[in-house]
Order: sequence, then C-alpha cells, then structure tokens
Amino acid sequence: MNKIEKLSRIILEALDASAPYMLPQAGLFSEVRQQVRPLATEDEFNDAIYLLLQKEFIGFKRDAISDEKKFFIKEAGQATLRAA
Amino acid sequence: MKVRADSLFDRLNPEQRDVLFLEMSQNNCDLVKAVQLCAKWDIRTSRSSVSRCYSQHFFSWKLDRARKAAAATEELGTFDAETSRLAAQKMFEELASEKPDPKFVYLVRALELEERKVKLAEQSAVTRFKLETEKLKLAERRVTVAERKIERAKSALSNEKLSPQEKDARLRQIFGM
Repeated sequence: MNKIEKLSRIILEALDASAPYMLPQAGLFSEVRQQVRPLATEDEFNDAIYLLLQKEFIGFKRDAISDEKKFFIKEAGQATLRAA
Repeated sequence: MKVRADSLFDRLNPEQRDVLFLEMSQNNCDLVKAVQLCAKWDIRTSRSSVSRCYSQHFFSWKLDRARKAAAATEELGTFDAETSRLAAQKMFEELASEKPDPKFVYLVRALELEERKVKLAEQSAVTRFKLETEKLKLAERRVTVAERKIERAKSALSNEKLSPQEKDARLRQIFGM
C-alpha cells in the first residue's frame, strides 16, 4: 500500500468514526498527517482526498460562514471499509 | 492496525482510558505524568508504551467521545430538529478539534460523570432489592421451620401414649434445648 492509499484509508476510518457528523478539513488534516511516517504533506493529503472524492467514497459541505470544507463518509466508503 | 494483546490500551478500563487521554491532551502529552498516573492504577508501563498508546488510539478515542457527546446534545430535545442538528455538529467539531474549548471539555466530562453516577445508583438499587428479597426469603423459611416445630410439638403434647417425661424429652428434642 503506497502512502496515498494509506492516507486514504486513515481518512475513511476517521470519517466513519465521526458519522453522522462531519469533520472540518483543517482538523482532519492535522490529525491524519501524524498517523503516517514521514508526516504527510498537504499535497499528499489533498491527493488522498481527491482520490476519495473521485470514487464517491466521501463528500463535503461548505461551512456557511467560514466556507471551510467539512467532510463526511458516503455509503460506498463505508462499504469499502467493511469489505477490507 | 495490529495491537498487541498486552498493549497498554487493553490493560486500561474505559474510565482509565478517559482519564489518561484527557490528562495527556491537557498537559501537552507529558509522558512522565502519564506513567505515574498508570502506576496509581497498579499498571506498570513505560514512556514509550504510553506514547505508542496515545498515537495509536487517541484520535479514534477523541472522535468516539465527540460523537457520543454530539448525539446526546441532539437528543436533549430543547431545540427544533434543525437547530439540534447544528448544535450537535458544533459540539462534535469542538470536541474533535486539536484544542477544544475547555468549557466544552468540562461540560462533557461533567455529563459523563453524572451518567456514571446514575448507572451506579441504579446498580446499587438493584443490588439492594436483591438483598432485601433474599432476606425476605430467609425470614419466610424460618417461619416455615418454626411452624413445623410447633405442629410437631402439638402432636407430641396430644399423644396420650407418651408419659409426661417422654413428652418433655420430645419437646426438648424438637426445640433443640
């Protein structure tokens, strides 16, 4: 499993543990980056997020005031976790 | 993630995990203090074990706690559904963040302790009820035994074939005198 795939899995697990609530992008990055070695960069994090969004494993909504993205897991993402 | 069967995380009960992780998150992950805290619970560990435990489990523990607090907020029923949902989301974000507002942490901790108190009181009430039931059953058995002795005594006293001395001996035997 390469680093992006590992990051993707960690992000999915974090969002699954948060359901039905959403995790803001900044907080998600801050926590998830520390769980891989070497520490994940912002680019690597964004690549993992992009991958998950493309596969429709996760979605996001924007905060009405701050416009920050808040992520949540979708059914396909949960199914992937259960299948693994 | 593979966790060793003898990992510190597994050796802690749920309440100890709460206390340890709360202390560490509020004390900049002071490993020395964490080891000392575990020692108070008779759990021998090392700074490296504590560090490993924290890095492997803290985030999922934090999310789980945040989710439960948010769900409790939503179930309060004080607001309409939409407002409750927004309040719950805010509670979740605050508790899941890197540095949650101490007011939120304190509030959730107070609610958790209150919930534990209620559960302990319920368990205590159930235990007391069982004890009282047992006492009652014991008292009923004693009454039954006494009634049988009285019947046997009456039978002995009304037995014309027995002499007064024999009746006396029989009564002493029945009542263990």
